[in-house]
Amino acid sequence: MEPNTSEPKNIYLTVEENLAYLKNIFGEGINLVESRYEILENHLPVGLVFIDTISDKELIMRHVLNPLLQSNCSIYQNADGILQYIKTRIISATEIKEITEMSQVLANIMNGDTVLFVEQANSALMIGTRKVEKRSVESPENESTVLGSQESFTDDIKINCSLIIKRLPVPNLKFEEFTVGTLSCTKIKLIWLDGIANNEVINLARSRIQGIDTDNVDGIGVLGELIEDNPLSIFPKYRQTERPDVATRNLTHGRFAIICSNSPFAFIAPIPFWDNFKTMDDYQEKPISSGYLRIVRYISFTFSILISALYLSFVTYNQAIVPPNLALNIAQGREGVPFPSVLELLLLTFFITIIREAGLRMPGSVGYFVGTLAAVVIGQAIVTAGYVSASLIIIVAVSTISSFAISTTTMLYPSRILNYIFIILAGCFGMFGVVCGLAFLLWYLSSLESFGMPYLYPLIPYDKNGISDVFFRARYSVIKTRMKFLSPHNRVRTGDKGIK
Amino acid sequence: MEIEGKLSHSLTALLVYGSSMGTIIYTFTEVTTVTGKPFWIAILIGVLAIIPFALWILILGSYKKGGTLFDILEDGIGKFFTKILLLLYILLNIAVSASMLNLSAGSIKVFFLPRTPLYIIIFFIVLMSTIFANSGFKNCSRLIAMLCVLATINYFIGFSISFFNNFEIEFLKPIFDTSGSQLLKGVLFTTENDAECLLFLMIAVDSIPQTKKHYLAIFKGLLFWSLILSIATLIMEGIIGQDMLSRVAAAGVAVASDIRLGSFLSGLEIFIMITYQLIAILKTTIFIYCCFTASKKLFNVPRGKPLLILSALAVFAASSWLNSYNIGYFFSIFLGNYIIPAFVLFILLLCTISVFIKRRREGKNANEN
Repeated sequence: MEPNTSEPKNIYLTVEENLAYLKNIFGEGINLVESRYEILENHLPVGLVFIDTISDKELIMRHVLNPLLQSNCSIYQNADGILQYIKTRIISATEIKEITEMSQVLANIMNGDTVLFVEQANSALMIGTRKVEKRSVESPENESTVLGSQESFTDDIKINCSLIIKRLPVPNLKFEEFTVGTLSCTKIKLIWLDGIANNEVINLARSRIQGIDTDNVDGIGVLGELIEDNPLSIFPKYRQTERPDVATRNLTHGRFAIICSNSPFAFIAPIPFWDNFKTMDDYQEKPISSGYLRIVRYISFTFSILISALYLSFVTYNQAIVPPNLALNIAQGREGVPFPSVLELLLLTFFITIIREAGLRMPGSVGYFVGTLAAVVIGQAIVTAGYVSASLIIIVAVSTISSFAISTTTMLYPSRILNYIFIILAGCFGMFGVVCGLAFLLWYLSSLESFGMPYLYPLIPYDKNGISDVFFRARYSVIKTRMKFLSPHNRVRTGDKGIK
Repeated sequence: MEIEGKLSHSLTALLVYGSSMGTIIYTFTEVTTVTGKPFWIAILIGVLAIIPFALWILILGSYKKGGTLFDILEDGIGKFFTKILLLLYILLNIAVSASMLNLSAGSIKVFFLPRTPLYIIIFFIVLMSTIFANSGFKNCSRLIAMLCVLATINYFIGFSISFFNNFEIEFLKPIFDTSGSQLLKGVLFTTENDAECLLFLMIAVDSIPQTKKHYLAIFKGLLFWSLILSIATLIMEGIIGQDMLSRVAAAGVAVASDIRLGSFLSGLEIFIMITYQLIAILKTTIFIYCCFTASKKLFNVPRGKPLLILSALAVFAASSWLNSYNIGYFFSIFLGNYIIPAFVLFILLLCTISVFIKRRREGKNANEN
């Protein structure tokens, strides 16, 4: 039979045509298994197709083939009737579906499912037999906590769904599945709590997901960039988390989450600026301790963007504020340094970034070695050689370490970029430039939005229900309502109304 | 006029508070000369005396929902006269912003950038304010709210460091050492010179909903400003005394330069100057926004980026032409004593008459029908 190269809309009526078409499409290298059998008393021809490497052969043998071959009954119905009989009375798999289109056949086979063709039937059976290698649930690598849960998401979307359902076992936890990426066919699930989340936000998320038009979506990062507001902004307007407890906590606040196959992170939105400074430890520690830690993070962020600029403006323009002894020390340290302070600061900051990147990309012990060599040996040598002053090394080190104290890695790079900008402003205009930069930063932050939510909410616009968890975490007995924007119709968290 | 969204009552209060911060932070030293030691009481009462006028604007705004006071004038006295008043309003905003910019830029030049020409500093402030004003009323109002809170916190943190060491209660005594007429003069001066917020309210009234909470917000904003300004000036008097205070320019900064904590902490004027710079940025943004909005109404153009640029250029040109802290100081006192209160009062009275005229016309039409 001549192989047909153009994709037909519906499956062929004969088993041979279907198998020939599939063999032509998939070729030899993919380990496609096509088997032909005659079943039942009628000796009815059937064809079975699956991909060897991604299908569970044990399941196919035990629950599909054996029952089919051992069934001896005679059925006096047309092919579609026989297909129904096979589906309901012979095959014992948990996932069986009738499919009619060839595109569905191709998609399911690529998914690891098995397709059964019956001679002269208008449809085929898809049997769920996928067997994909996956990691077990491990502890989070990038968001470690002391007192929080030690589970993290994996690359398997079903396991991730189960981790969320385990924490929110309520019927109004909704999942909506999408497939994005014309080549990657990535499965993603939009998750929200019905009756709590803002429907306008959910509709906006849905419309943006449906509007994705690209060939490959291989992770949450790509997905986030395709659906977030203002992707060119350096500030993250969604949160990527590998922790199921963070995801479920945000769902109860009225946010939505998106999980993606082959990605161990969840996408959470809408997120204001302040959420980048929260960790799960804040909700496990006592309120005063967590408040103290949160203030430390805010101060760290401020240090990471401003301390270098302030040092530069005090040393270059506004020396009056520097105590005389300290000023002498700084002046002595700068003696013989050939570069102006602003250039010194920029170069050293850039050098520290190079060290960090090198240490991060190198595996294990090589990374430690690179970090130690660069930071200690080269840093010491650079001061001894007189290229930079010792006080500048301290300032740059404090600035860099402060950026690591911010809770999420997504704020690390914005803080570094802002650091450069403020250094340049301080170098050009001193304190005036720093203040102008600060005003500009505040304006920029106030103009950003995350899925319709102002980025500085609940501070601007002010929402007293949200303020209790911005700078300090109030006691749980005090946090009784949700924020107005996130949950406009179900704001009460306590009593029976909490799950309406 | 474009309305990008109604203001919440907390944002209204902060906007009123922020728009009240103006040239008074430099010129209040005149009150110390006029009133003497209890000048801070005159300032407290003077700012509170603005509240009835602010509420008057809001009440007038209720007669034309979604409109400014100039929309009410248009209904009452016609387009031609309204356009003349709009032109005067724009010129007044430019004049006040020019004096404000010269005061701020002069202080910045002294304490931050001694070798930089005044017009360069003015240019950057105007450029930033234009970018902010261009982003729309919603973003502008959020920024103004944040800047005024930041400026206040920064100011008091700076002074709190020195409070226990440098504050002398003797400088305040005797507290009520003034006559009634002198106190009244001080109150009048404060009211007149702090009436800049009313210029902003004339335009912003279209975005303020007519609810009790918003009336209360206006009251709260001005009450808060009166307390903050009087406490700030009280602290300054406690640190350097009323006599010295009446002779310094940019009083807060000058007072801060006197603060020392051993040999470790000095030069705090740099941090206090941040407050003045933030106020300069927020006020310039307000003035440019008001000029832009009024000029859109004047030329009947719903969107008009060229008008924004023209407004900014006019502010820059006027400020550069003044080019002096001293001229800016006396010019702002002149505007505050004679021009702003007269203009505001004139507009309010004219609006009130316009409301009556309009209601009579509507009554006549209803009778005829």
